[in-house]
Amino acid sequence: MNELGTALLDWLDERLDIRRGIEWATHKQVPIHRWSVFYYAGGVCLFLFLLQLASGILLLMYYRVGADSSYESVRYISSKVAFGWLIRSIHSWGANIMIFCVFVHMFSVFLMKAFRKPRELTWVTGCVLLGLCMAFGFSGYLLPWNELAYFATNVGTDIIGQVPVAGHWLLKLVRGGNDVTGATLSRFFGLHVAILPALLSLTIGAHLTFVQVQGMAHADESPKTMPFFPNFFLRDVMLWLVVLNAVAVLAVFFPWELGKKAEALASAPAGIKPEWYFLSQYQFLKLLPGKVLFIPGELLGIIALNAAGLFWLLTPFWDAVVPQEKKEAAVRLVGWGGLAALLAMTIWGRFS
Amino acid sequence: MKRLLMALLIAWPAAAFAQSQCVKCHAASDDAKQKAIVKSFASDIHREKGLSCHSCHGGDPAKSDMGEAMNPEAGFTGVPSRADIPKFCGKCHSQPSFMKKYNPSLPVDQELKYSTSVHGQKRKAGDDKVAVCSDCHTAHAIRPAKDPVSSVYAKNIPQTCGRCHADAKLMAPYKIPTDQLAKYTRSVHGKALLEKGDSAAPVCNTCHGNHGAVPPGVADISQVCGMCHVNNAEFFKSSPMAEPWAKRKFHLCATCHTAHDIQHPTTQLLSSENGVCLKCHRPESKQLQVATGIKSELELVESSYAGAEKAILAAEEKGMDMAEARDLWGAARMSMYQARTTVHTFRAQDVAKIADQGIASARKAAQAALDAVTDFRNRRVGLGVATLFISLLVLALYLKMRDIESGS
Repeated sequence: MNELGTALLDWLDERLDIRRGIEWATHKQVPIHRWSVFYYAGGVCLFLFLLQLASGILLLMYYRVGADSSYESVRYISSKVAFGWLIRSIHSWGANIMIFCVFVHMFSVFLMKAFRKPRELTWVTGCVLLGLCMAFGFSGYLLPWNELAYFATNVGTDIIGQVPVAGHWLLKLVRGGNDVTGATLSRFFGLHVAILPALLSLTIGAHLTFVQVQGMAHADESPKTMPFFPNFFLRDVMLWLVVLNAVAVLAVFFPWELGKKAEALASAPAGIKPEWYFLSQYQFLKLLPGKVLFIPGELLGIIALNAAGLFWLLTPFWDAVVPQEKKEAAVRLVGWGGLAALLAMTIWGRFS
Repeated sequence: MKRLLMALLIAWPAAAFAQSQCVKCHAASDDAKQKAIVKSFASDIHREKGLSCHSCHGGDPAKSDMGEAMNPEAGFTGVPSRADIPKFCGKCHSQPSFMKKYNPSLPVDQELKYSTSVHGQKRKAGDDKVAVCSDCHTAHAIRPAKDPVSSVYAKNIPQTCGRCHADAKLMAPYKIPTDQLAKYTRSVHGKALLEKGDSAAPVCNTCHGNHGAVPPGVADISQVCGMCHVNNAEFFKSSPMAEPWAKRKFHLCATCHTAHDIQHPTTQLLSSENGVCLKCHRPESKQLQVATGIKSELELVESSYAGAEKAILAAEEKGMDMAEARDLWGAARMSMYQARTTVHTFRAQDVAKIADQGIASARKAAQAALDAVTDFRNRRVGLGVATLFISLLVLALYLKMRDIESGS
């Protein structure tokens, strides 16, 4: 480090005790074993979140929310603003890749049993982060106010109306009225750029704090480790750069289409389906009959999906009460079974 | 209960018709023609409305004795002669108070109009061959004009009229052409109706009228074409052509475009070699120079428009957003159509004014498309440079990491 760097570090250290943080990072160790590669998934999620934050802020400079302006402003961003097409495509592709990485991170954590004591809260905050990411995806999908987004939001919000007793009230709350209109667009915009970022930032903060306090879980008995800084961190940065390049390649070769402007009176386009990360739930609801005994099939499906989500969220707690000799089998069954079901339903939903 | 009442209301006319003695006897007749009448009347609009044989022909459908059922003294009229058919149908169709019970929106002037038509006039003069109501509408299988199976449904009208007017033998005494149906079928209007299924396309009665059918004279046809082609007619009326046209009693539109064989107009109509202007003007005349000027303006706007479309498609194929270029291209198309319409002013400067706007829009659209293709290439070059830079950075980090790890 040159003299200027040392002087700057001294200056900061004098005020913020920064050397203690560096010292801590240097001593933090990351386990080395055959599944270590999955430790990078969380970092990629964090990087993609930062990429989404940066590209989202840039889009916000030109995006104008409203039934008469959303579509037009996105069109303007894509065709007139310098590099607007790139930022929009990076934001759209980044969102999808981020959700994919969150799934990879979640299942790897589950199958490495990293949710066990003392990491229960890390797991719970991670599950909350997945929910927030999906809410981000759902709310952001409507913002261009195009035909696909309009009808997908209609179908998606219809499901909320199935909730017993409060369904209609919740539907009106989400849509800002009985139908998907400009009011819904304003609500989704507020949710997407203010409420969700605040919640996500706080939850990421908590999640990262837990990870730093507890360190990374050892997936096996291997005693080998590597220093987090700089060894693991350099690998992280290398992977982030590769991911950034991959997102850029997708943005250039497959720019995100805008399609036609939303038209309430137009008929829904044929074969309309939700985004891939909602396909498994969509396919599950589609398979249910109109009524199971006296309960509407869709309502039963929503209850089942929520129960499954709650079961998944409470993994560390039910795992703790499973007898020791059955613990491994239970985790394998739930983890691999859940992953297989998710993949099968998604693929079925895509091609049905 | 409501459903039962509805079912009864629908079933009642059919039941009443089936119970009629006329139907019983005529259906059981050995005469195939009589059987066919009963069969075809089953789907007739009059039967659907609750009318039966005696409603038109008189008689008593309740009597099983033929003499009593078809007693002229009791009002039986039997089969009307061809000469009497308009009056026969007019008994009801010329009575507003009667017709409004069945269809208040149906006109009641058909008989009157028929009497003013060429058909009606000739009929009055004793010609027994000319068309009467049943020739076009059929006698016992009458359906409303909106019904696709009706003989007077728009798409069926050319064949209905052509049944007589394309029959050279039948038309021979009248010394009128019989090629109208063939010409119409290959015309722009005929193709729109018969090939594209556009039921709004004009058909025989759109220009000639239906019940008051007349061969249009000079004044009439200008009105007829102008009903749809409003701007063309208005431009023509204010053009330098209007006065000489009127003097020579030329058909306003048909002189250049023909009457039944109207084709999609192209710039060839204005050609100095084989265009329609040569019918009256000499090739070296001033008027032909005007036509040539108009033609070149139209060709320029058409080629600019086509070129812009090609450029836009090329950019769209590469995934570029061409919404704005499409808007400009749309404006060029609008100007091109307007310029074609403005031809009917026969003033080159008027056409040029509109065409130039289209040419300018088309050029802007084409330029936007070309810029998009350039942008597309630049994006890939930029991505290549960025990938190279990122790869070098990753390599540098890797070397640094190896350096650190070999040191430790």
